[in-house]
Amino acid sequence: MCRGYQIFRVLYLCHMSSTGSQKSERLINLTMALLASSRFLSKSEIFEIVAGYAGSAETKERMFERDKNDLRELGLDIEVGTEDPLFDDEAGYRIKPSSYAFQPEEIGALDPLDISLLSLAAAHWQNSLFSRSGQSALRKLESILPLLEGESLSLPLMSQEIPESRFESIWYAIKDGRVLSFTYRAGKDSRRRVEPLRMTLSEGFWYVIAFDLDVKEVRRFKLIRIGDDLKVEDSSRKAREFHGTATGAITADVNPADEIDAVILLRVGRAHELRHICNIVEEDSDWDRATARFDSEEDLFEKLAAAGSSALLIYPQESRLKFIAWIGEKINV
Amino acid sequence: MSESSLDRTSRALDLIPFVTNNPGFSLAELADRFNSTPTQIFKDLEMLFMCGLPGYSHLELIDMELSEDYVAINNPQNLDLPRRFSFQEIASLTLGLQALLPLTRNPELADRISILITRLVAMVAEGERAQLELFSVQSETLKGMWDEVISTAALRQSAISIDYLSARTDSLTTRTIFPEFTYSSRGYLYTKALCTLSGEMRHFRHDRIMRAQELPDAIRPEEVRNLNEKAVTIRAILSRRNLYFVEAHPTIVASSTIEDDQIEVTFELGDSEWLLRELSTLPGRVEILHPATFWEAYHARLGAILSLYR
Repeated sequence: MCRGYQIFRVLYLCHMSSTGSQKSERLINLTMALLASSRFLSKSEIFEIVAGYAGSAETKERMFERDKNDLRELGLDIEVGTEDPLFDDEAGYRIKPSSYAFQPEEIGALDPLDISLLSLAAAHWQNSLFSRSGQSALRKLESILPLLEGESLSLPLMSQEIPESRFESIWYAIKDGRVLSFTYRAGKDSRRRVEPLRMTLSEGFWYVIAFDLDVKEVRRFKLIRIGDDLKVEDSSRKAREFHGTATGAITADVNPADEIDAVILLRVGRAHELRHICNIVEEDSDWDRATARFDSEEDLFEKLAAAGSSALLIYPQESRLKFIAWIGEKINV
Repeated sequence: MSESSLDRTSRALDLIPFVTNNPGFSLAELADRFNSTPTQIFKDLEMLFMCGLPGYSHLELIDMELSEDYVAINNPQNLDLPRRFSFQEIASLTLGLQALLPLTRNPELADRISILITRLVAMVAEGERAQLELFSVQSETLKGMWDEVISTAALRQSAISIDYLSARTDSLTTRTIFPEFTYSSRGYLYTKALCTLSGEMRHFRHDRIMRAQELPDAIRPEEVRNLNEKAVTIRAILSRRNLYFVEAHPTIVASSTIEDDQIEVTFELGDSEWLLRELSTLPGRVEILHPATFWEAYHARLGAILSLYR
């Protein structure tokens, strides 16, 4: 270390206490001091030995309270206690090294395959909270392991999670048990006030399962449809349990009552996508006759429209008439 | 947006054990790994240079070597180990692993993913474990018969011959493709590959691949056109019932405005044939505003369907 830099360091440290703008330094110094101490450090000791605390007693007190909260927000477990519980000593503070430091044995040995999987998992996210957290988790692993060299995997590389700016607010609202209010833009715009219960990612979209305080029911809301006026209210939600599964609330299961059997003519050499799901029952020079079961009438219409003029619905007659009207509606604007 | 002192503290606390364990990174490399800028990393390290244990003599301060192309920490004091995983970090990894599970056909890999999830969940403080269950990933991916062949070819950077059912042209074609990578999107697996038939990069949906065979000796052509060049702008008004379609295709939606029961959308994409087909499958009103050629093609397509029933 060069002498000039050492002198700069000393001058800088002397100067630091007067500027009061080096909050990060103070937080790190405080962390190091609390970690290094095997006993509880009282506030007066902290003010005396940790660099960065300056001003009146009241100022230092306020600074310390804020710093303590900030370190807790960073996930550090600051223990409060006294050396001798039999005496009414001033409360002291410390951080146990075991509660601070990553314990490699907790996650166990990781081989290149594990590393690849964890890297893929971390790379899955487009939302900023998870994307940031996944990468910082990998950096922590790299701080205790040799640099992460994964194994090449024949697994899909990317997810198509739709980036969602409201994710972080809703995540914390669920964790902290807060009420949300927002405009929901579905079939029509409506103002909602909900107690968020769960979040789930399905088909690339995040949903929040929440108790709607106006309709008094558990509903699911697609995050992308939640308006920019999302507000996290100060009020806390009731400790409400959601007993249904998120899966049940989201998956659009096929209702057997909606299923429909159809007879369709398929132009020879065309309508390949429909042929893939149909049984050809009769072949002809121009058209093949086919049968198939569709999840719903809407499903049938979508697949017929996708095949264009290469598919002709024969049966059911009622659906045939409806399909003509369905196509007509799209161009009679 | 300027970052908070808490964000900076958090990054600095992570930098110390990382640099201690991995000396020799340049500022630019560290910036890349910590999603920051070389200038910011330099400021962080400069700040850490002033931090240490009470006493703050040269023996108690964090000791490092700092230059633009070489950073090392010789004495991290008591910050040699990283902080424990946070709840968010564990959630990000476990939910990411959950999303990977349905993408593998390999039972050994699936087992390994499940074991990693179990190990990570065990690292969550007991009081927070129930909270982890509040967040979930449901991803069911339709697997194709040839997923393994395609992924292996992508890894080996070799070609495959495929029979592909093109929804766009309603035809079954045989073509040679050079897969680049596979990804999942809303329940389907796709592979982005150079298609020698079209001379373009294209996206192939796995369930539409009817046959695949690896061609280890095929030579990759040099020049390709990029299909992703956004060449066409199409404006349309859709019924509000089709909001899901707009949401599901953010990469081609340049702008959208919802008003009452309709959505006005501007699409920008390279393949108008694909959009023509998709719009004709949407329920309710679809009015093409621009360009006139697309309006004509849309009406001709639907008119041809209606004429079958006359």
